[in-house]
Amino acid sequence: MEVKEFEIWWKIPFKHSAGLHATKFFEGLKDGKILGVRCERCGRVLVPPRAFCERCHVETNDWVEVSDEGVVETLTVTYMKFTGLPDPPYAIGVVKLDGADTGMLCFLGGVDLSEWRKVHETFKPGTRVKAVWKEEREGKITDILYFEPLK
Amino acid sequence: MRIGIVGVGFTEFGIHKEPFYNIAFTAAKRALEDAGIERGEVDSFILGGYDNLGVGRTISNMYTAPAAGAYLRHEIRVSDDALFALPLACMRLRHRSDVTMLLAFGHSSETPIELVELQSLDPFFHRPLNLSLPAFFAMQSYAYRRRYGVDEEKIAEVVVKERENGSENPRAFVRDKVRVEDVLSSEIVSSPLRRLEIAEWCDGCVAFILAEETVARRLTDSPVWVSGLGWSLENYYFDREFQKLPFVAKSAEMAFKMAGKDRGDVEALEICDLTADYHCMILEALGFAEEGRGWDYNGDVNHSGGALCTNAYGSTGAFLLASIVERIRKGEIDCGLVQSMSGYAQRSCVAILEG
Ligand SMILES: [Zn+2]
Repeated sequence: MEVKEFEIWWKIPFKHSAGLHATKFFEGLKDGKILGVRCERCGRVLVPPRAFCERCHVETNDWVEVSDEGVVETLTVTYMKFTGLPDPPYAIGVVKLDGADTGMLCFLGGVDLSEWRKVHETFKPGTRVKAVWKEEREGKITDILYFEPLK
Repeated sequence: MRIGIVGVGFTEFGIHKEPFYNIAFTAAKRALEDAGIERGEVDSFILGGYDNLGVGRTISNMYTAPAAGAYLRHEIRVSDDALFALPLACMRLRHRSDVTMLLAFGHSSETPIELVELQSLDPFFHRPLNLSLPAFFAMQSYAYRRRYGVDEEKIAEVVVKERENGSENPRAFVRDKVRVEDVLSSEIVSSPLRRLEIAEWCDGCVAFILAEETVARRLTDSPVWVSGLGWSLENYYFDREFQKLPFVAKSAEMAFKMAGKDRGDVEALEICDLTADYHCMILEALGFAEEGRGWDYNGDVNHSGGALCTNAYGSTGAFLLASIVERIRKGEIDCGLVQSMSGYAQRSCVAILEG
């Protein structure tokens, strides 16, 4: 006997509170600014900002603006299609912005993504990159379209 | 007081047509049979496996309570890879439990797990960037290969070796051998990771019967003692060195300290190599290989084929544990180490077992 299968979809709406720290960060993005917080204990600038430093376990309220330029720490180009995820290829990387002490997850772009070895050569760790901003910003992480190599 | 494993029950690791709780029931029955006890003799039930949307039910691990035989009994759940439930089972046995069942369920075949895992990321900074699990693993692989100048061939050789081991393990899910050129010509999933360098998802359950020392010795002539346990956590954000797994190192330190043993005492390892690069990185973090040289390790590791051959979402660590337990029972080895990890490479658990 063939075992019966039931197809089920989940669609549940949420209204997630971003909290004050993330809100301030997203308001900054609208103005084309990237904000972080400095931990008064370890002195590290955390980007994206968060309400406390997990290493020191203290609150963080010392706001600083960091650059929209930085260096690539690592990257990958996805070529496989996953259900519910965008059509490939797309490049994701971690960029440490000038003035920040933590890497930030971001898209990489502005280059042909068809050959992964070329993309990795272009964005190899240590490569300087700059944010390419959306024209009409809405206060979301995707206001930064991607980072591209600094010309 | 020592704690011993006195029974193990495996199901097949593959793609199951039955729902996970029916598979879990089979594992529980087999473990009881293997220990030679009745369900009524178990006084505590520990259920391991993810309670996320992997099987499309919230608190999905709760479904395995009746399967374990926990009706109207003391049960508690650990929502993680099931190896993380072993410390809790041992804690229970140290506090008024004589016989505990640890039931591990793993199930991946009902939904795309990449999409489920994506929902574990925060909705503000990380989820909108569509960071799939393989993409995150790939960022670590790239950092590792580049930092230490590891050739693709070396990584491919790890896969070849794991597949050879898997081909000889009747319990393994993936049992076809591959050659280096097969690995290097398999498609890129997320660069630089290729399809054959990433563990494939499957389904399967394992149950264990554990007992405190006096009871354990009464139940069997060959209990497998849990000598050391350790676990640790990486950060959530990305202020990491991507080529390393410091939380794996921490979990090992804790387990070795508890066991009062050192690396030289361990005769075999089973490690959660969700990718071929993690195979190397874990060996390095555990202290069995030098930094950047994990690919060169030729000790007894993943005799079972590892996660690269059997990766049931939620019970992978339990599969690896059971593989070490079986070898100790057969007398092939006296002391083994099991490691598992979960999430976006964020949590690690280590257990040291001996005969
Ligand atoms: Zn700090």
